[in-house]
Amino acid sequence: MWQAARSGGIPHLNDLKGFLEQEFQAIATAAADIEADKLAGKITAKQAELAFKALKKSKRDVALAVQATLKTAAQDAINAAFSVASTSLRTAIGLP
Amino acid sequence: MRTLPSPKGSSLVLLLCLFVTACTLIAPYDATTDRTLNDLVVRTETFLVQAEATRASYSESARFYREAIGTTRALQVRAGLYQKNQEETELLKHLEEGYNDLAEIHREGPITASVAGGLRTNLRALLRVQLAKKRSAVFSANLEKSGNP
Repeated sequence: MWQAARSGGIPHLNDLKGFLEQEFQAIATAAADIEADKLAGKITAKQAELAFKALKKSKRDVALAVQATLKTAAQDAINAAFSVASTSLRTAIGLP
Repeated sequence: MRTLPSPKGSSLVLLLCLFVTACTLIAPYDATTDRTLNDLVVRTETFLVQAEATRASYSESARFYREAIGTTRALQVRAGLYQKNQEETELLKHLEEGYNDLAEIHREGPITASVAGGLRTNLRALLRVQLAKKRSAVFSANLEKSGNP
């Protein structure tokens, strides 16, 4: 049952690890790009300020994606474990 | 003919019924939402490249914002049809806010793609949720194929 639960949950957790690494990198790059565009005069100081504000706000979206992915991981782990238990039980009581 | 006369057997059947009921913690994968989101990502990135290259003003770009917000609202309606879909519903509300934020920045003057960092984070978060749901749908289908719910 433990193995089955792992097979359901682990792939989601591996995806999540990659997602978080990418997001930390992407947010850092986005902040640097805003600053560079401001210094190059491509955007105004007010635009840069608003863009930073929006970028800061978007951290909550990363948290929501993590929450949803953890739910799917738990769901698949539980269903995989139930599936193994159900098979064992059916075999034990002689059901096809 | 198979019979289950004993109370022990009945308890096992009851237990089996518990096991065959699949646990649902999150709304199912919706292919239309996934497709629409991917299309919105393409349209947004194309718009950003064009806006940066042409230094287009807000008024020249207003149509893009109207269409993107319209698509986002349609996705919100669709997400609201499912139970246990709070994260996606919340992300779609933030997406509308993201397009409004970008429009506000654009009203200040021509934009570059860098100012859309927040919006891009939101779009990636939504795509991540679709990928997780899709993986879960495939996993559940395989469980069913192997003869289990």
